[in-house]
Amino acid sequence: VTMPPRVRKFALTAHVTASVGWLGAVAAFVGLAVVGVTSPDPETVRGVYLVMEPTAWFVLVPLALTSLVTGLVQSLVTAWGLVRHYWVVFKLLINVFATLVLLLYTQTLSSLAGLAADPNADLSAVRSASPLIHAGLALVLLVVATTLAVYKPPGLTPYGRRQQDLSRKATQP
Amino acid sequence: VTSEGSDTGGTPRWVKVFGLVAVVAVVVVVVVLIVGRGGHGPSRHSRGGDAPAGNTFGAHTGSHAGVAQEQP
Repeated sequence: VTMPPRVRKFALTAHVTASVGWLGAVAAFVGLAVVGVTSPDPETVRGVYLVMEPTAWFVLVPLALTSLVTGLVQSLVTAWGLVRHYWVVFKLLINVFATLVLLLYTQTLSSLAGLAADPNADLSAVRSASPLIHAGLALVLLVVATTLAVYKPPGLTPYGRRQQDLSRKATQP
Repeated sequence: VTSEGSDTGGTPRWVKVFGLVAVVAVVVVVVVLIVGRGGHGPSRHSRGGDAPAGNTFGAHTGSHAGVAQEQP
């Protein structure tokens, strides 16, 4: 698929913005999670677990899906392809895995928000290290994905090598 | 892409390392899910579930710890 350079730049900007924005949002989420498990103030703790759910739905999920969709568009409109280069494959796997876990984890965040909203729930039951663990691991994964995108380590998949051989034969007289 | 030599050779070492790390991570996740069955996921946080009695990051036993103190 070919695209005018202007559109291609716009698509790349959208992908970088969504992906790095997702990384930043997860970093902020880690900060919230740290406050949730360490703050001595019960209202602050409850507030943290209440705000996590809408943050996930209105910030993390849209950024994750935008990153995934714009990444797929990038693979279609550039020579990198989707399964030609190992770094693209790993980025795709990281993106899909992190998005799926995030979507599943919204259920846990909903439960935590429910507990936080319940004035009869004990604070020890409201506090949970789970968001910190999940967000911390997500942060590591997204840093790895960003590093792969910047360094683009060489390495063609078997499919990529076949494609390269075909294009070489096609260009030879 | 970088040098042709890198792309035309076999599987790069970094891919093998990444693949190994990914396999180990998947195995760890599966083991955690199996060992902690019922203790992972949303049900863990439901009322009457096996939610932890305290947190490992410093449970509060001071004046803010109880629900009674939270209510006006």
